[in-house]
Order: sequence, then structure tokens, then C-alpha cells
Amino acid sequence: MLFLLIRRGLRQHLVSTAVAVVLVALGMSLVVSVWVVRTEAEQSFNRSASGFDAVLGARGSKLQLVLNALFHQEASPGNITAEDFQQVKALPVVDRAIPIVVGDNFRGVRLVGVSDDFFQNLEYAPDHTYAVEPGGRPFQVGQKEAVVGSLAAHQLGWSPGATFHPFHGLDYNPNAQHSETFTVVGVLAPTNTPADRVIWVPLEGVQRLGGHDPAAFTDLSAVLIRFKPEAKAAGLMLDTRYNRQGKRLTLAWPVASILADLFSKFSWFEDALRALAYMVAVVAGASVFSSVYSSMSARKRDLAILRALGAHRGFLIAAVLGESAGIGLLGCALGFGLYAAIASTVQEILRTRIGVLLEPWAWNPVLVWGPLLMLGLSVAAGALPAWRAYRLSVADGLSPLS
Amino acid sequence: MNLKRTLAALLVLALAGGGWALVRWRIRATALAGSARDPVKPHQHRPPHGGTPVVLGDEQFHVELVRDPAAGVLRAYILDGEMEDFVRIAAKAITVQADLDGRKETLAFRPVADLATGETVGDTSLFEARADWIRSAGHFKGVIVNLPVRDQVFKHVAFSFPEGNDRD
Repeated sequence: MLFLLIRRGLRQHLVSTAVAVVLVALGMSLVVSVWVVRTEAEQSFNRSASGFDAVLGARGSKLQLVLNALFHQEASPGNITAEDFQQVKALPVVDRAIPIVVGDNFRGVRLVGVSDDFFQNLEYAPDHTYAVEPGGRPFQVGQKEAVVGSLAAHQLGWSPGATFHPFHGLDYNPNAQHSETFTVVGVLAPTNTPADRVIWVPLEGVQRLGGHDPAAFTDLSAVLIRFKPEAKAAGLMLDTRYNRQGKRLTLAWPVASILADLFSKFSWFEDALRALAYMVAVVAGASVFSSVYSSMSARKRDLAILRALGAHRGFLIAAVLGESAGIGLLGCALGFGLYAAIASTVQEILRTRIGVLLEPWAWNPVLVWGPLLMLGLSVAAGALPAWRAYRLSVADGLSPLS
Repeated sequence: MNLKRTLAALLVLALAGGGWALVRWRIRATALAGSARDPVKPHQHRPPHGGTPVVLGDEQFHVELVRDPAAGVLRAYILDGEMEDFVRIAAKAITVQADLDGRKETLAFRPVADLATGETVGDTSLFEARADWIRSAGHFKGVIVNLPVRDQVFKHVAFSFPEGNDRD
């Protein structure tokens, strides 16, 4: 009986009900999206640091170093020498030191020169090592060979056997093509890290391309460093040596803290989005109120008849609150659909442009309290109409309309 | 009817006001959480390598002494008054007279060049002294005989190792 009454109330004012449902859905999806995208993006960026603890590069911004060396964004702040690499590699606290060189591209897809250590049991995540997909193999040092990241291979339509001529610089300039021909010998198995977005070639492949300065043939763009697990103070020690005592090089460490700084720079934008989400939620609450209030006013006579037939006042309150809760529930259901659409769009943008994989359905408390907030707001918006229903006298409700 | 409209308008205003208050509260809570994560650092002078701090003058500069017993090396880092920045000096040597329970020793610290830091002999903040007794001597009293740092010269600076000479 109660359910039928609620359903009739919702259907009787279908347009205003639909508007309220859509607004609740928008509010919920915005609140959840803002929260989840913020927290997941930061966690995803940290996961995508590819298992390295620090990056050593030329003197400059730590953030630029991390973005350039680990996320393959931005330009390199400068070069370091092969001796710098040998020195850091020889430190007893260093477990792995992988040198990289950047400076060329193929139609906007970055070429990254790397040592062959890269394919030798290097973990980008616990129990996950970089590997070449079946049918391919790692490049050989000194050869003009390439291993393509999975996203880059998909984007360029490449498979083992494909050949290409790289272009000079990090930005695609059709007039700056190198004459050297590289052959793709493998596709990197997907890692869901920025490594999927680039073309991996031997160090010398980038260093000795035609037109590059012969005096800088051994120079490197950066060194990716992983410390030995037992060397707890390694980061602090090297941070003091390179960043405080030294004036030549920069050690970007700890990577997570540098990325947190990056996100904190955009916290004002996040606050603005949150404020917007809350305002939409409030408007949704007002819309629920308007819809339920209109519905109740229009059915005043019906409610009075119910009262005359013996319905308890509590029943009328339950009917009105049930209607607002129904709008809230429908809105939350639709809201999850909208959230899925927003999250998958953001996920695709981050994956293709940065190589970072967002996990929108990973556990986050907002996935529970977001819908509960909207449901509570909807029920609260039905409180005044419910009070009016409670106070409705049979005589007033059944009095002639004219 | 007017009463209903007034009530409806009041409710909308209340909801909007409540929502705005919620937004303000969340922004404030976020800001407070941020400031709690980044507490104001107390004014502390700590040697960057966890070594022995030796104050020069009225805390204009510091020398941090770090013992490497395995190598028999004592390193001296020249630091500023806050022990935050390294100070490169041109000194060719630093002499320290050590008293090991009555036995007198002299340590000659030599400037160290380091590719990693870009320091060179004549422009370095790191000096090293080698001696066999450093391997075993965990405690001694010392005097820095003569140490020119920038435009000042510090003479006969006494200290205890590993306590240092900072009385604060």
C-alpha cells in the first residue's frame, strides 16, 4: 500500500521527479568523482613511479626531473656525464641505476634511450618485471633496434619488424627527420605505467644519432635509482650530498613527496570543484523539496481521504518521506552511471596522455558516504512536506475546492 | 498560498545556507588537515650527517666532524650558522690538535674534491684527515688551531669529541 502510494506520487509529477532525480544524480556523481579522481590520481601517479626511489639529473627542478624521467613529460633540465652515472651506480646503497637519454621522437611519441639493464629483472611493481611480449625480444646494445611500449605500439600500429626514422627533438617537427633507420624487435608487455607510451632504444641509439653533438655522445639525461631495501638512510644521505652540499646535480627524492607537491599545487582547483559539487548537491536537495512539496499539495485531498479511512498520521509521513527517499535512491542509481561515465573518460585521458592507470572502482569511502549524503539530503528535503502531511486535518483536506 | 511560498523559499535558503556552510567547513577542514601534515619546524641546528657539531665564533659557522672508524678517517664539513648550507672555503689544510687522555696527536685535514658535488680543492666544504688512532678513539679533546672561513679566521676553537662545543 505504502509502496503503491509512493510510486503513484513519483509518477504523478513525472517531469519534476525526473528533474530532481537527474539533479541528485549529478550531485552524487560530482561529489564522488571529485573525491575519487583526486585520491586515485595521486595513488596512480605514485604506482606509476615504476618502482624507482629517486632520479638523478642536471641541476634544476626536482618535479621537472621526475616528470621527464619517469612520466616522459616535460623537457630534460639538462645533461649529466657518464662519470656521474658510474659514480652513483658504484655507491653501496644503490641497488639499480638505470641511465636514460631523451631528445628524439617519432610523430610525437618519445624515444627513450636506456641501458639493456632495463630488461633484466627490473621490477616496475612488486613481482612485476619489464618484459617483451612473445614474438619479440629486447634490443641489442649498439644496434638500431627498438622495443615499443604497448600503448605506443597500438597508437602507431607497429609490431616486430616495423621500421622507422626518428625525428629530432621532443616535439614532432616533420622537417627534422633523422636518416637512421630503426627496426622494432619487440613490444613491451603492458605495465600500465608511462613506460607503455614511449619507444625504448639503446642508449647509443639516441646519443649517436646524426646531428647530435659528438662532444656529448656519452651524456645522459637522467639516472633512475633504486636503493637497496636495507639502506634506509640512503635517500637522506644522497639528498644531502647532491642537493645541499652539491651545486651540479639534483637528486629528485623522495618521488612520492615530489608528486604530492605537484598535487598540492592544484588543491585550489580541487577545492573549487568540491564547492561546485556541494552546490549542485544543495540545488538537488531544493529540487527534491520542490517536487515532493508539489506532489503533496496536489494530493492533499487523497491524503485527507486516507486519513478519513483511518490511516495513521505516521503513514502519511512515511508516504511523503518515502517519495523523497525514492527520488534520492533513483538519483544515486543514475549517479553511479554518470560517475562511471566521468571516471572512464578521465581514466582514458590519463592512460593515453600520461600512461597512468586510474582505478575508479577501487575502494574509497566516498563511494559509500557520497550516495548516503545525497540520500540523506533527499530525505531531509522531504521533511517539511512530511510535516505538512502530518498536520493535515481531514476537514481542510476534504473542504470544497471552489 | 503566500505562507507556502514563503516556507518553500525559506527552506531553499536554509538548504543553500547549510550547503554553503558545509562547503566552508570542508575547505577549512582540508586546510587545517594540510597544515597539520606540515607542522612548523622548530628552530633546531642539526648536523646533516648526524656528526659532532663544533661551533665557530658566535655560531657564525659550524664544523661537523664525522668519524669513519672502518677507514680511519675523520671528515670535517664546513657549514653555515644554521647548519643548513655547506660553506666552501679555499683553505689548503685545517690543523686539529687532539688530546687522547694525555697523548697528543695532530690531525691534518686535507681538502677533498668531489665530482658529485662539484667541489674542488680550493673550493670545497669537505676536509678529511686519516690516522690509525681514529679507528679506535671514540672520545678525545681537540682544538682547531686556525680556520679561515670567508672573511673571518677562527683560532684555537676547543671542543670535545663526540660531544662538540655547543652549550645551547
